[in-house]
Amino acid sequence: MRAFLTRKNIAIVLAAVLIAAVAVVSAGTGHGDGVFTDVLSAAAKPLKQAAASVARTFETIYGYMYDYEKVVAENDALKKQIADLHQDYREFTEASEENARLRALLNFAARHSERAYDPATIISRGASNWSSSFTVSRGSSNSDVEVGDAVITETGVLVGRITEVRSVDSTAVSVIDTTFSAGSLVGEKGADGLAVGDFRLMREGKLKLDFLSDDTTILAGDTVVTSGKGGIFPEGLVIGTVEGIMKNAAGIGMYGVVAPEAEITSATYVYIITEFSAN
Amino acid sequence: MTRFNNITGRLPKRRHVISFAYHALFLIIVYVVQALVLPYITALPSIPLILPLAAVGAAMFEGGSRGAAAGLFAGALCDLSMNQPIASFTVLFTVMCLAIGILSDTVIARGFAPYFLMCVGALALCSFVQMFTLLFFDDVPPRGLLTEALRQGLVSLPFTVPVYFGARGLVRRKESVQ
Repeated sequence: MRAFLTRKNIAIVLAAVLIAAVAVVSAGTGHGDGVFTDVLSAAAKPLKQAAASVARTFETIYGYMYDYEKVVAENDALKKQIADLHQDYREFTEASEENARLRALLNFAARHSERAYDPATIISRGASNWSSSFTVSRGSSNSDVEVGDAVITETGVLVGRITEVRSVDSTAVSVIDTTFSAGSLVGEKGADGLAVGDFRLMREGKLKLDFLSDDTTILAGDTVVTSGKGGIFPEGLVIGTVEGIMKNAAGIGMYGVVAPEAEITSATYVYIITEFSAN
Repeated sequence: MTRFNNITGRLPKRRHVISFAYHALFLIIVYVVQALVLPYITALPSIPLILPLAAVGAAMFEGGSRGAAAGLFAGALCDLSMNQPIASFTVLFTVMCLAIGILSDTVIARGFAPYFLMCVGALALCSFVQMFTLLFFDDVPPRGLLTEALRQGLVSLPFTVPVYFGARGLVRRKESVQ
């Protein structure tokens, strides 16, 4: 007991009591946790910050090491999700476009309910400089397509005529090919003529409106449509627009230069008229 | 290892098959370019005709009978690329390649200059076949047809360089395999 009650120990205990008393008094007078607590907290703050920083660093390293695979997997999943969304978007766009085409066809078909249409895709174009042909995705095994059937766009514009039917696909010549010909009507009065392919005009992507009667008056801008006479093509299919009127080589009579309405070199989706009632 | 038949001095049958397969593959690549690439290059004044060039190359380096076989294959592909029944080019290329093959086996050197001249002849023949119906049955003025033939020939001839070296490369590859 004597050893305990030394002057030094008593001073330490008194100091502790004093500090405690001051702390209690300062806390009781509204200084938060007390002056000493504040002082100690302030002194410890840099240490705490340093410790937290070190802990965060270790946490990051830990996360980098142990969460890396999880992040990679998540990244892969997100990439796949993005690819799926892109695919969905493409499908949506294609469906929208197809919808628009079918709506246009529906409008056109509603006016000609006696006709049967078969949708097709142009899968290749002929590599010849001497003809203008293309291959469509319909053949005898997947369609009622026959030689001579008209190929049109969804708005009833004539693109060409089927010339050869195979089992899975068919070949067609376009309206500018030299072997193409169709009885036509032109102008407001519906004058008769024959729309035919011409080798020279084919190079320019156009065709000829020939065999016009002497009293026929045609003007640039007149629309040329099929007449339906002869039963080869249905009537009323738009072939193109008259661009100019020229004299025949022999100097007798005139012919019209017709710019086709169909985009021969870029058309992709077409319809084959497999059935119609002839005039 | 015996590479040649010691008695006949000919290549074994398997080698013929491999050799033809190389040329067939080359012709298919040329067909793809001819049918699916060149028609869509609208900047060109005319669509180049390159399958005859490949057929001439095969015939020149392979000789008569194998050249004719390559010609038949190339002709059929050319008819296909033109969206026409397999007939005119198939017959033309077969006969043409047989003749070129025999000539290259006997009197013509297998260099670029003779190849180029034979290509000019082949393109002229092809143009004649293509314009035949238009000229004699559809009464199209000859001037327009000749202009088109000339245009087609001119845009096709630059392709003789890659096609010649492609065909020659195939022959060298075949020889290195043997």
